[in-house]
Amino acid sequence: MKKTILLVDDFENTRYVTRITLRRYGYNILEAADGLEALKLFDGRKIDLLITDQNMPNMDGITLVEKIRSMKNYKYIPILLLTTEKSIEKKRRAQRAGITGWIQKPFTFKNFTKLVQKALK
Amino acid sequence: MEDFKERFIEDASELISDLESDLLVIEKEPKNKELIERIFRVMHNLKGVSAMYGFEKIGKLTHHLETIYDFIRDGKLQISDKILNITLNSVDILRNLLEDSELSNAEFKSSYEDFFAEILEFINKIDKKNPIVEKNNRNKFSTYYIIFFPEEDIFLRGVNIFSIFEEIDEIGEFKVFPHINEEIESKKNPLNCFLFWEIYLVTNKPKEEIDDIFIFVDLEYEVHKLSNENLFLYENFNEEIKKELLEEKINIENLKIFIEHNKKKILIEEKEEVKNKINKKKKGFQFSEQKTKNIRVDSDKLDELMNLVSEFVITQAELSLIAKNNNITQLSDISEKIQKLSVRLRNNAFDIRLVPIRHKLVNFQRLVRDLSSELGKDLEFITEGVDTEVDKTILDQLTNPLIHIIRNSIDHGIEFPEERELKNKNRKGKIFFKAMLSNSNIIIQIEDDGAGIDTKIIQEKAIEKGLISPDVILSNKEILELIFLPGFSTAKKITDVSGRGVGMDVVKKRISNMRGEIKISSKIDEGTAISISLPLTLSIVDALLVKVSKTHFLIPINSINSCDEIKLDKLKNSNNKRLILNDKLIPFIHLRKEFEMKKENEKTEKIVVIDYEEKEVALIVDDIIGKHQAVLKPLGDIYDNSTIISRASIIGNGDIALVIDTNKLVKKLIY
Repeated sequence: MKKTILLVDDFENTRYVTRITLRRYGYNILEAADGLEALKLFDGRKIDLLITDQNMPNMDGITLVEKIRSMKNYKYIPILLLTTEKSIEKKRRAQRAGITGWIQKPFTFKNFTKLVQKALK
Repeated sequence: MEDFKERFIEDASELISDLESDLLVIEKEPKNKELIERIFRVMHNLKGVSAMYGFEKIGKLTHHLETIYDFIRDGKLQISDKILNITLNSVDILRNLLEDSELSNAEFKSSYEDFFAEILEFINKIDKKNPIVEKNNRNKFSTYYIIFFPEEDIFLRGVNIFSIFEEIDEIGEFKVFPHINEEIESKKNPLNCFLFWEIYLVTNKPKEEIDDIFIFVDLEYEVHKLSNENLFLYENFNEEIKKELLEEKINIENLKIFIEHNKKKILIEEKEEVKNKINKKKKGFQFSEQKTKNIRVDSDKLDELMNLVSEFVITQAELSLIAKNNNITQLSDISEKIQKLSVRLRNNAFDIRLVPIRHKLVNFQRLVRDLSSELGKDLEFITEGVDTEVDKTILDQLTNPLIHIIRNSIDHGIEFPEERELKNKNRKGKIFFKAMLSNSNIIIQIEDDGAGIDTKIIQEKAIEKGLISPDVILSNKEILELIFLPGFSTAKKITDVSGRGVGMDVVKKRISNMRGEIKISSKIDEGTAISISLPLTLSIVDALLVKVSKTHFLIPINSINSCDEIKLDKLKNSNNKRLILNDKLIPFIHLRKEFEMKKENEKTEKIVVIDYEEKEVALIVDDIIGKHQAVLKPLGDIYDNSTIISRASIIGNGDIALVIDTNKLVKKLIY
């Protein structure tokens, strides 16, 4: 069965390139422009991985992650956070919110897909 | 693959046992050339096949031993005590390698390495011109110490801890020590992780790969390189790990210092150890007892066993009849017990004779490989259901016909790559080999996606050869059947492979002799399929004993669907030979009428519904007596042509019951 990945980023260009890359690996892609929009997609459908940006209007990445971790059906899905942050302190905070791993921006696609594949394992 | 491996192990164990006994003889006759030659052969054979099955170490070892015996063969070397010792030790090492090819047992590993060094040293001594320098494997590996200290919320973050360990396992050899993290208070919450792990990892992969494994938990682990070699090889290192573990907290710096400090010690001790081991070996090394999974038995003995079981079954039937006729309950009890035992005995005896088709697969694969390259055809041999088990006699008898069919497929069926391209087919032809069980039959299908058989050519050829007359109109199916006629061969040019005029007719005869059937279907440019159906077992079947007039008949249980009753007048009213059973209209065969037996007055008739190629057919009989273990006996030459009755069997009272071949009966009378 094809794995479904939800991409959340307010920047259309980022979504576009990541979408194209991931499709090539045979994943189903869902998209949302911010946390609120993304949250609506967690309506019971199958989502195997969430990749979300941190800084977005309406609802930021960490808040989205916290909300998802409190949902019964999506509690344990892997979540990758796109972030420019480097400080361990911030990373640790994101982890407490429930992220599985983070992708340091800017990223190479090789590295990006490697992390995605690993998270989906 | 696993199966091949097992067979290799079986064969290799035999070779090694032979080797051992030869060695014991050669000790007394060190000049026996024949024996030397034999030992050399064993080494040579083992060397050739072992690496193929993933036993590279056996390959390496036997390679060196072969060298030694090559010297002896050429007279450059005499059998000495030293050589005998080495070879005898090698017997034990080889045996252990068969069980533990990866040297997972540390003790064995070191004894293997010592032995290997000994052989190398010896060879380098006798052959000074070409010294063999063995790369030291120890240097390629490094030992890492990893501490993985996950936060208690790790499970809530979607991190898969198991996959972390799986990945560690993939890159090397490791020892892991889990501990409970006493600092976490909420130990009772099952969603929290309150464990942490210490891992010793030996790998030849760079440290980056370890980092990759822990990428999602990169704040929760540390990795330290302990050494540039495989420390697991040092026994006292392992001891030391255990000791360290007993202490409360592990200090990596201390551990490193310890290792640096102890390296010299380790090496010195190692030398001591090697000495000890060599001494030990001289006394006779203790090896684990080898379990024998398979034994080889003379097939005559198996046949005799089958005969005895058959006799036993017949005698049991007599006994149960006496008990029944004389109303002796005690005897009935015993007879019943014996019956149950006889069934088990029978099944067991059958089982012994069963072998998976896979065992013969190598022959076919070899054939495909050799022949296709010889003819310049590109093809793939695809198998399915090759674990299906068949009576060994059947399989043996089947091998040649199957080889012939596959040959035909490669030679006549599959086109040359260029031709296939023109037809818009994949350059690579395909031959499917499928085996499956259906009722009491084993079905083997060989299918190719080749050129198919041109029925026109077949017909012309048959007419030309005078096999059929020109004015007969035949269906495609009938034309295809012509290739089973004696003296039929369609190959345009006679190759070494097929087309020698002995062909499909011989195949068909072989199959018929085994009470089997062969069918062919073909479509031009799409391919040909040949299907062989054989009764699974040859000598004893479970059957339903029925009575028609005064004669007993046996219907194999496997083909029976259900039993029922029907009013006689209902049959009389049906003139299209169909009856209604459970709201279904099914054809019936009135056995009494078919066999032209006298009619007895009955108001109801008994029905046995049998399955025929996924359809149901009813057989009308006078009486259903019950289940019977039928020991099948051939009918003799006179009845060889009888199609409906396949065999006979003796029932308890000494009467003879005839075994109905339901497939042929239905085919003859209905379809």
